[in-house]
Amino acid sequence: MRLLEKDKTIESEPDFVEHISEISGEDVRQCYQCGKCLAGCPMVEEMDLTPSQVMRAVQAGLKDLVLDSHTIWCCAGCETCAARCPKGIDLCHVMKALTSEAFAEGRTQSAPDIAAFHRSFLDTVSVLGRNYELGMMGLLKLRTRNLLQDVALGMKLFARGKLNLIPEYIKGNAEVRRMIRQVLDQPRPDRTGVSPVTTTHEDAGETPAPPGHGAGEAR
Amino acid sequence: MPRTGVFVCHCGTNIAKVVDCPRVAEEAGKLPGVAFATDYTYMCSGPGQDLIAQAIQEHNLDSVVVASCSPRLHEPTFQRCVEGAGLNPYLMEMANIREQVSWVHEDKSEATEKAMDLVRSAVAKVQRNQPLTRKELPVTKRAVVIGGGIAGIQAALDIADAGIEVILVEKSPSIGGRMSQFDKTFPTLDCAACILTPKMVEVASNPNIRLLTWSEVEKVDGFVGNFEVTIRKKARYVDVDACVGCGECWAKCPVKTIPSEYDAELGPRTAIYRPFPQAVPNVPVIDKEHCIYLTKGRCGACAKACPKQCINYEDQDELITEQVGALVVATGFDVEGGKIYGEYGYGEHPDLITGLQLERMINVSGPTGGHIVRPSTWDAKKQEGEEPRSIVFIQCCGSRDPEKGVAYCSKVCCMYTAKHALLLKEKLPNAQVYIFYIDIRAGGKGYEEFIDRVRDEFQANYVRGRVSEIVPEGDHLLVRGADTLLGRQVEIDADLVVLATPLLARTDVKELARKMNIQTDKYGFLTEAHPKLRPAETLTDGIFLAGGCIFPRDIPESVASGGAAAAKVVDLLSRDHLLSEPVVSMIDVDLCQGCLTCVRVCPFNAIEEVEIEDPKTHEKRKVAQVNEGLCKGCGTCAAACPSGCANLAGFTDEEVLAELDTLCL
Amino acid sequence: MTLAYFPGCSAASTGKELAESTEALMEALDFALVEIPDWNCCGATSAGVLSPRLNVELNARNLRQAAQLGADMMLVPCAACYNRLKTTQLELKEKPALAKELEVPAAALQMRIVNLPELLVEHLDEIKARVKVDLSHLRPGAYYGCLLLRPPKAVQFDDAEQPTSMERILEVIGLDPAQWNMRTECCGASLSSTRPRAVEKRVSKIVDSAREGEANCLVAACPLCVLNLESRQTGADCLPSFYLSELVGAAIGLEPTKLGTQRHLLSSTLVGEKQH
Repeated sequence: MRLLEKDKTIESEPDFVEHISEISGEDVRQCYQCGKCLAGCPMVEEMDLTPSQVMRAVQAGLKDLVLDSHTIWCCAGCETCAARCPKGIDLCHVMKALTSEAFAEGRTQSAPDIAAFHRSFLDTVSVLGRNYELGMMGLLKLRTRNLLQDVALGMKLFARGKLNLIPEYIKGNAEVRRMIRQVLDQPRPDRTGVSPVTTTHEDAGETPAPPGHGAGEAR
Repeated sequence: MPRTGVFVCHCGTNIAKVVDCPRVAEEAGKLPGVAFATDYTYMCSGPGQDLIAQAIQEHNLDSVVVASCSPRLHEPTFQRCVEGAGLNPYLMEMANIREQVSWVHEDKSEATEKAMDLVRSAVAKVQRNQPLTRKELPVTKRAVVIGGGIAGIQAALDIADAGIEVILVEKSPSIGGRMSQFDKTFPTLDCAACILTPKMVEVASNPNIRLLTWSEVEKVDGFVGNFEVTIRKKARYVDVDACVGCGECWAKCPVKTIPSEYDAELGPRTAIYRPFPQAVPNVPVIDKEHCIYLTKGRCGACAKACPKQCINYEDQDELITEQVGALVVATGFDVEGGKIYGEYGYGEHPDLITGLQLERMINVSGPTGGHIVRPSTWDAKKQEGEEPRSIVFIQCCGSRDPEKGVAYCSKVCCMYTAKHALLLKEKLPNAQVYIFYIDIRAGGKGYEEFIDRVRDEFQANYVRGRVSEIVPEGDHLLVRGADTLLGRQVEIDADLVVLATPLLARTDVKELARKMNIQTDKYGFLTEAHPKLRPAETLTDGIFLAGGCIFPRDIPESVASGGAAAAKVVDLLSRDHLLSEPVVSMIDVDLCQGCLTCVRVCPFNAIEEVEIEDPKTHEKRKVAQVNEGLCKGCGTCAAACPSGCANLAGFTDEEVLAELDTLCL
Repeated sequence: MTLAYFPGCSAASTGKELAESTEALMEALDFALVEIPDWNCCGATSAGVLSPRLNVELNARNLRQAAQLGADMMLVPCAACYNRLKTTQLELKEKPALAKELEVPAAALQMRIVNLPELLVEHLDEIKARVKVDLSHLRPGAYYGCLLLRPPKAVQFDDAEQPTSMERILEVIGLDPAQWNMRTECCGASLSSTRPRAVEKRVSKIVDSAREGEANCLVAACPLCVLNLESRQTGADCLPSFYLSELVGAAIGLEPTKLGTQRHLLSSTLVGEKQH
């Protein structure tokens, strides 16, 4: 099957549904488009594809459509859809399988700031073994160049003794670092997406690209 | 030397595309004792059967092997075929080279080898088979129908009309079943009561029908043509023969707030009650759980009010036994009560009701006298309430949901919801009606046209999608759902929300099935002998099925299946005698040690302990004896018998070992 | 009773008052908390989003560390950590080969992982016996959010759609919790820094719903929810949020300062108002 878009054609990849079902542990083929996930999703206003359309796109093997969608990054992971899906599919698992695929392929242009957030979080944890808000927010601000956001909030937290200046290390941080670096430093095709932590200046810009642009075209 | 004929079927390409059939026939021709072997495209067809019959004559065959499909499908066909040509039907064996070979293997040469093995094995067995003869069994020309809904009523009337006596056993106080709760029927909009009550009255007046309401089947013994059914007539506390249904008793009953089963708990009933005005028999029953006299020993208001002294608080359950030749099970289905989705909050908001409750509300004899109201505003004294202006129907509230509900489609909801939408719009033309659906299933005569009419002429708003949650907001219900065709979330402020809940197997039918030795499926519905070819029969001879106990059904289907079951009963009971299946257990009493292992393992209770006297020594001893009428020929006893005295006719040790030897040696 | 204790990263920062109040309350209720040695971050949302496998690996390590304590039960006050640990535990139970590969011992798979409401609702009598302070000027809206309850198959806590645990606990300490609609709706915390406008909208819907149910504060059991509810509320008249452990602690007479109540971003005066 071929999806005819305004400015491009997306070929379906028949093995994609199998692949995503395997990583997510969810049988995506079971979805029969009742729309219950869409009906209860708290983040749907942020999405370009609805959750049920993501499921359909995966079934149809429309890898490029779904991996370049904004939706997969906007899932809040609240599991409302999973709790109510009549077919027992955990859509959050599917969304995570899709973001991890997109990340592994370096195609995070649809939501570079969200990808940068997760990356910064894990970068921090990879160093310390635990999260350290101040360090993590610093990294994120560098990555997104959004220096002013939530500064007032940070000050308030600091005033209440809730932002430590000295981070905590764990003894086993080398082990944790190995786990995380394996994911963050995996070889990725060179796309315009997220780059390694040492080159933060090249990281994504502050505004997400409109859906359909970016990775699909960059090829 | 035996003279066996081997007939290899191609089954079109079903077998021939994987198995080299001519070669199988050719090799079979070389087997010892095989006088004739051939292959043919469709052995079960007329020409195919002629070919077998002709060969039997021409080659003077004394046994036959048909290598084709599963014996479950065509054993009777080929048995009849060889019998017609003068052979005993049990001198025909089938080698299953379709299900066991061509459908499960791909390699052509290996599959052909396997087919030849199976043919060789069948030849070895058939050459040792003994002719078996069917015995004559008597037939009791009476029937029991269990369940007095529309399917059971139809079955009882059809059997009775054929001149056969029927006992109709109904668990509740009246016959009529689900259909009696309905206001109108789709797609014709016939008044349900107008077409049902005449049939109910006909049941009551038909001299061939004995109606036992408020009664349950306790036990079923015996076998086809010769059942003994034990029925419990529950204590009714009202004399059925003397009562005229005047209504004085329930008018005086002080217990007035028991949720009425008939009104789907939307309205109240009294402790002595008649479920609905057209009840047959038109006689009330006392609910002993709620009756003050029966629980606390005081009151007696109904007895005082009764002008005919019909009330008897001392009434007891009564067990009766009936001899019948056949039974029809027509016990119907349950309707789920709306509680599958916690996110809808059924039970917390009175304005959230089920389809069955709306059906009662629409009905003039229902709890609101036919007024469509928001239950939260209903004033029972003034008999008034606020009319809803925005009504939301939600389909599949547990159907098509393997996770929390049932995986199957309940089949009738699309249509009854459309009917409800139409009836509501007739009564409340200014109301907005929304129907959330996943797919509209309208496969029936006039059904799709009916949906079109509801959507176009009656302006029901169909919304393709599911509802995520229903929450109270102010004095209405906020319905949060999706319109998947728009790919957007939608919200509707509703005054009344109606859930299409799944139709379920009755919870008590499993127990009944166990008593009758018939099967249920994973949902608890009763299983037909064959889902396509024997839809009215069970695997237990003489027990038939009708209506919604098999699967959710609408009225025409239930009536048709009631008629089908009746036809089967009439066919069975019109015979002077029945022929027994000769493939039964045989116990050699000379060898039997009386250990009775077979009695314990027999799943059909077909073996019993008897005392015999040795003709020479006149010594008495206990041995096991097979009741051939009950024996199903499963062979469990033959496998379990430690002394080897139990053998299955048609599957003796000698025959089975010969079959195995060809494969193993 | 001894409990293995997983404080979670937020205990040292944005959720300090959750950790402080939990620890104080557990001591008062005679539970001994033993912190899991050298525990690591659960990965929150980020690990799973970038690699589902990483999420499992991080929490497999935590389960291994916890097994060293030999406790039968693990208390995880942070809803996000609770959810990650519990879903990982279930996944490893379902995939013995993976558990073996990650060297997670059977003891870690048997250990019962509980959140705070889950633990407290099983000890209502002990709480009731200790109640000293009247907090009845509070009418909290119990806010469960998502991670305590979902996915129900994995967390197996309360009824995912109509939970009652928090309300039952609040009733025991003499409060009349609000009846409201959005108790189990997601607050959007995981997108709070990346999609702040959408999350503000979400939070204001939740707060409005609680107000409609006549709540004068919210009570939650998740540091992400509380931070989000406090920092993403807009407008002047904000509804304060508390941790369940703070309210129960205050009701049994613990000092608000010991419970960390002064650390809230919004008003912290409601607790103990009547005492002063």
